[in-house]
Amino acid sequence: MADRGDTHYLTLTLNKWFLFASLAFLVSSLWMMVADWNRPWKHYQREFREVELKKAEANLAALETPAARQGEAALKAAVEKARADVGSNQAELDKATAAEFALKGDLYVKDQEAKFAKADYDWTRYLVEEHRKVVGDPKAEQEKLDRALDRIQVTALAKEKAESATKAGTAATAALMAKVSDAEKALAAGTRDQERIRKRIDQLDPKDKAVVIANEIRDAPGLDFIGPTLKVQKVVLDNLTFELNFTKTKRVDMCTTCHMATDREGWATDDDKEPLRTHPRLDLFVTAKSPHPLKDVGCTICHRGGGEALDFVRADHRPADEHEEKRWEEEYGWHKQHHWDYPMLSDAYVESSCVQCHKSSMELVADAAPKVAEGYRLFEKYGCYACHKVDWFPTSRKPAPSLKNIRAKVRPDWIASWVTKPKAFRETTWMPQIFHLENFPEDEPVVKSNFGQGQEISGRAWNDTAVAAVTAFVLSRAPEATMPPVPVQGDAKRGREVFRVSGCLACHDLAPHEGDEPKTKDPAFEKNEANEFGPNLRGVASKLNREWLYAWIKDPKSYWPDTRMPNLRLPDQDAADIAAYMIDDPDGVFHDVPKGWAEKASPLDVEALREQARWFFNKLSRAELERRFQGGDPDHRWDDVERLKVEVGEKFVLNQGCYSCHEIQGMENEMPIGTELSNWGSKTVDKLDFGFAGDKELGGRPKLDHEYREGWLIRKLHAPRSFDLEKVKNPKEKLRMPYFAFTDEQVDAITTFVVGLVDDEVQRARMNPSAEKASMDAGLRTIRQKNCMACHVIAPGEVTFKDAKGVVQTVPAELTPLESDKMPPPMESLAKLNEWLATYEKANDEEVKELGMRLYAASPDVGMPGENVSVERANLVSVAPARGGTFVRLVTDYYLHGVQRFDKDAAKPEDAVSSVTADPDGEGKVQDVDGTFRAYADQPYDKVRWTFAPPVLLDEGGKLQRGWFFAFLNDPVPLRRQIRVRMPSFHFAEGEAGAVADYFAYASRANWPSKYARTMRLALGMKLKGDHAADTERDWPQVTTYREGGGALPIEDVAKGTALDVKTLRGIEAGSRADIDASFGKVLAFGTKQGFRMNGAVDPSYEAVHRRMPSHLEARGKECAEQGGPIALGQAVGLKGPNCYQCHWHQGDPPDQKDSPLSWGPDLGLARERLRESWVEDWLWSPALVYPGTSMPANFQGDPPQYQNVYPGSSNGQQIQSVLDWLFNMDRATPPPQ
Amino acid sequence: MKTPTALAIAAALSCVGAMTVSPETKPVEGKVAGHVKFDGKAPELKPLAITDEKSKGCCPAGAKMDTTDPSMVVSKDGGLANAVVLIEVPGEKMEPSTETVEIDQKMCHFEPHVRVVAAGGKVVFLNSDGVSHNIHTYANKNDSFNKTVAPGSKEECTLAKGDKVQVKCDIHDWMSAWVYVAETPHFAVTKEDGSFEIGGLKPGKYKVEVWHEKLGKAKGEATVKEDGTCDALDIKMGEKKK
Repeated sequence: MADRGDTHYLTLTLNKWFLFASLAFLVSSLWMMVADWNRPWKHYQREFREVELKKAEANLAALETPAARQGEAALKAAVEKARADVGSNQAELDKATAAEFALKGDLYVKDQEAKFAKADYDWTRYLVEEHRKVVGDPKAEQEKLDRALDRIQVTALAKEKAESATKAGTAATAALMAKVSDAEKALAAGTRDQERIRKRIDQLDPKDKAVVIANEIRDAPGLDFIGPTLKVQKVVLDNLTFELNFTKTKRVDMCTTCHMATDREGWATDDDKEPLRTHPRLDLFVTAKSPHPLKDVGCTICHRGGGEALDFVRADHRPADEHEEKRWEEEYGWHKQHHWDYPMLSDAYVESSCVQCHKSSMELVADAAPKVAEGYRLFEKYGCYACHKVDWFPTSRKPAPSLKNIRAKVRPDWIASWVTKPKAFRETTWMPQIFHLENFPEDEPVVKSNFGQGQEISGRAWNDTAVAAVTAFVLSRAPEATMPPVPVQGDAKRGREVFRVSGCLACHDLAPHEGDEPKTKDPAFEKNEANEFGPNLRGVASKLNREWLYAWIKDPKSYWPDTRMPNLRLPDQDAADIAAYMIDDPDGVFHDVPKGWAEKASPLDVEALREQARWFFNKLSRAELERRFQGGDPDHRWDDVERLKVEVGEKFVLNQGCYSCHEIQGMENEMPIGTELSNWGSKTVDKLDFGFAGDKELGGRPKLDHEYREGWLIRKLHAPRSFDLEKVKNPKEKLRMPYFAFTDEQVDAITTFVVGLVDDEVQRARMNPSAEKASMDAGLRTIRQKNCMACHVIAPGEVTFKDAKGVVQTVPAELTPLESDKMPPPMESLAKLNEWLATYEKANDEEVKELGMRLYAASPDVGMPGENVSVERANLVSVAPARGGTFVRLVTDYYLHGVQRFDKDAAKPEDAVSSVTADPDGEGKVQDVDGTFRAYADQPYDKVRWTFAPPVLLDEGGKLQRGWFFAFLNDPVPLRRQIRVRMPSFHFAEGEAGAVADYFAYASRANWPSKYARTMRLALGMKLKGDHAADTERDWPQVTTYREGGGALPIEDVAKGTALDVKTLRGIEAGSRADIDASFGKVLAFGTKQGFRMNGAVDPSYEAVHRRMPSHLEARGKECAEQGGPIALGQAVGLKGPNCYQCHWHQGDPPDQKDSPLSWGPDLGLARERLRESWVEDWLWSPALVYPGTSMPANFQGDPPQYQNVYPGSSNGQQIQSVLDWLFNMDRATPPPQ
Repeated sequence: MKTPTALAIAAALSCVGAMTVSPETKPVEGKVAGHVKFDGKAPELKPLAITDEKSKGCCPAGAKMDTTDPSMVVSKDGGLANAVVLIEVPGEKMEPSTETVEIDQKMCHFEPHVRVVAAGGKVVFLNSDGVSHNIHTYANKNDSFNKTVAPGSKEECTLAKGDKVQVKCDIHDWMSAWVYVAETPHFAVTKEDGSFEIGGLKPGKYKVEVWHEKLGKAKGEATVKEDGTCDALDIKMGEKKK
């Protein structure tokens, strides 16, 4: 069309614009395509592919050893040969194939005919039925129907024949081809691993050019929306939601788009860098086998951050430190995503996330998540929960002593000094400092008194006066009381011993004050992981009186019903002796107070006190206040300073919430003062008041990190009142959280816990633990809260070493004493061990090249329980201590060496330190329960340990009947009467004792499969000897006792027999839950088939004592009628054989060795209600296998069997069975004639 | 952790002329002999606290229970019995021993109180008493065992590694014996008068080590002369400091 010239535009210009726009569009489209093609995650995926290829090639190369290559070549040759063999007979094969083909054709025809016949019958039947209805003759056309039915029979028969003929034909062909298919199968089986990798290599790096080109096209810019090989990976989590702009949306995590290797094993070398690294805990996370599979849990539920982001910055990654932050800013342009409420947790705090699902299993996850578990424990120990409500927190006792009877315990001035600064008296106390903190600067005015008309009150005066007021109030609520006198005269010297052996030091330490050079270097005084449970007792006697202390020791709960200190049921004399030891203090520790500590009343400024009254009673009119100050109100005579102190003190106590932790008369129903923390971790950062002091360094405390909750919390815990700085606040508005002087580690742990207290955003995914898990958690919690593990070992230590073949082995074991010492070397850590060994070497002029250790559990590749193994010191990799039982060492050390005592008046320094016991003759003897002093210094460590130290609780659930255990915990009965350490009466709350009993029962049941697997492998490799072969099946104790140098069955053999791989078997042996659940059945079946039998799979429900049943006794009665019945026979074997009564108490009667507590054993009369039969059976076979080191001898291992005069012709096994019959029916036995 | 501090002083006094005359063809076989003596005044040990109740059945009718504490036996002139004397010959390779030694239990005491066996050797424990005992060995590098031995029965154990094994009967708490597993074939246990003699040594200088259950270790040096004789070796051991 010609340009008419009347348009409003110029075509040329338009064309130019059009051209420009098109070009711009083209460029931007291309730009977009390239940018999309070039996104960072695609680079990572390409890189992943390259690295994976490299790794696959390396793995293949490792598999393709010359031997493997030869093997593969041989297998391939075998296939070729088989093919050639068949080829030589090609004619026959062709004929067979043809025949098979023909038969198959015939079968098809016959099958069709049969189907038609069936259809025809159905049709005919319908016609006949209709016809009969029409003609009214029910028998009409019967012939037609019969014919159709006949046809079905005939065709079915023909089909069957054709089927069997075809089968035969196929078999004939297969037979001809059998060699080939067998050889192919062998090849596939022999090269399975290689083939798998080769296939993967071919996928990653296709040899086929066409595939390469096709892949290039799929990933080409602009075409990569159709079917690319590089794809966004996402996990859609239906059950897990999070809140996004007021709605709950499904979580979608795309993290694995970049983090491609997270579920792959073997991406954890130094060369592997994020995002292409293996998750550090595949056993716990990500993999399908783990308890937190990726497909159910995703990533952000734990790590937080932007799960849908495909970009480093937008995912809200979190730098570990400033250094990393700087690097990220340079490399990625990283900055915090300000509008994302769920910033990623840095690795340091990632354990926070455990809390949201594991509220009811915090104890069970403690090993895997130590930091958050520590935070949880500290939250409990420091009583945080008392002020800050956490709706699910399982503890509710008041964490601090009752003040209801405080006058009977301490002096008024002591209270004032203590409240001023608790740590001045005891550095390790968990009582916080409440006054004299940073929001009341000491020399600055807090307020100008009398409504701005009076004098300036300084922070110091304000706080000093507050302390005086609080002291006066607390005393006003406690009655004047004096304790009754101690009923018996205490003996300090004996008290030292009672204090030592009764168990006080299990929960209390006596570590010297900070900076003090200890006068007495007593290892029992040092802190350990158990004895900071109660307060450090150094200096404690300076505040107490003898009468109160005596009453407290006798029955702590009468003074403070919620105390964790148990009742040791000490006789009056013992309690009085301890009180005398502490008050008279011959060792100079109980009156040793820190430098600078002074007991004095807090200075009182009357004007400050009045000003405080004006603030706290600000609802009163000024006139009323004045009236009270003048003494005009008979109920509030404020002209009397003492009365004013009490009234102001009450207000301070209410204001600071002292009653949250302490019981105070009349304040039982006050509400706690702290913010509820149940959902604190979900509070968005903008809701936190960071104050003005953000950049101030407060005495080395960290700068604030305004972007994160953790930053705020760390500051809060370090300097709780620093958010007040530079703010204008009146004294009542100021922050009130007290100062705990937490260490950096404690702050970190508590922060980790509190940040984890989020809205329960995963309601549906919240763990609902099984009854078993729940009671194990409750049991563990009770065990921790009662500090049971201070005295009792619940799991042995571990030694990791390189064996002779260079394989690293980790075994449950205890190091044995060295040549010139009695005590075993410590196992806290390798460093501590080495330090100890260095001292030992110097003291004894001896080089330690080798260490001995005793195994505590069946360790197939090392040895059996009780066996001693030597390890070259150079081959020792690490040591780990036993769980629990720190007190064992202290009490054993006392029996062997006495107490180290320091005499400051000694003439020569070498005489200053001496070793003492309560022995009046000064010979180092120790008093026994019968009052006699006996020497134990020359006894072996083991003897003393197993006789006088608290018992170990290894496999306790497998040993005890649950009902008895429960009853014993609630009400302990004398069991091992020689032990002076007291099993306390704890006053368990409802459910607690049951949970402890259940915990042990369930733990034994859970440990049984791995114990079985290990023991089976050991036992099956051993030889039987003489008489024992005939005894029973391959029962583990008897077999392993007669090792005769036989080793364990190689694990490869077991793998073959069970059709499991070695890794799974090792997993089972190590106790991996997933492997046990999936594959233990096969191990059990294998063991049973080999004739291996092992006692003791625990069922924690009620268990009948089989040997007390009439049916059992009747059957046994028939077997041994001649010997007077089973009970009489067992009694005869027990008493005339090894004579159990030599050492064992029995039904309350002392043993024959009643003068020798070192020989005593538990009361046999308790066995029937206390012990599980299967455990006693193992125990009688071989005590050392159950408790390595025990004094109980193996009584029935004679070869040939002993005691033939008592039980003629009996084997060891028969003797044991008969003794069991007696033990479990002891109450029914006729006492033997004296 | 107090360890015995050995006050080891070797002093050569007079030559006893312990010499083995050998035919020319045979190499000279010398010996080291001497005494182990208690340094200072011997402590007076109290008798073992064995009540009649405890020792029921230990002794045949009429016999009296021996209550001497065997852990430190010092003769009138200071000779220390039951000390183990060892000589390690540098460079000598020791084959595992095949010898068997016996320890008997008689009237509720181990006989003898101290035995040395070269590593690899076997110990047989007998019970000549009319009551059951249990043999409980407290080994650190070898396997421990703890079995009841009825009257007239026996138990044995092989001790493969150098070790000090205390042997106890858990039933009779005073019963104690020591088996020293030596990593050398040259050893002796001192007699009542503290004397010892170790033969089969070529001429040369040797380091001598002494061990006593209560006094710990001491060291000395001895020279076997070319004619096989040596100067008598006296080693003193003192009480360990508390």
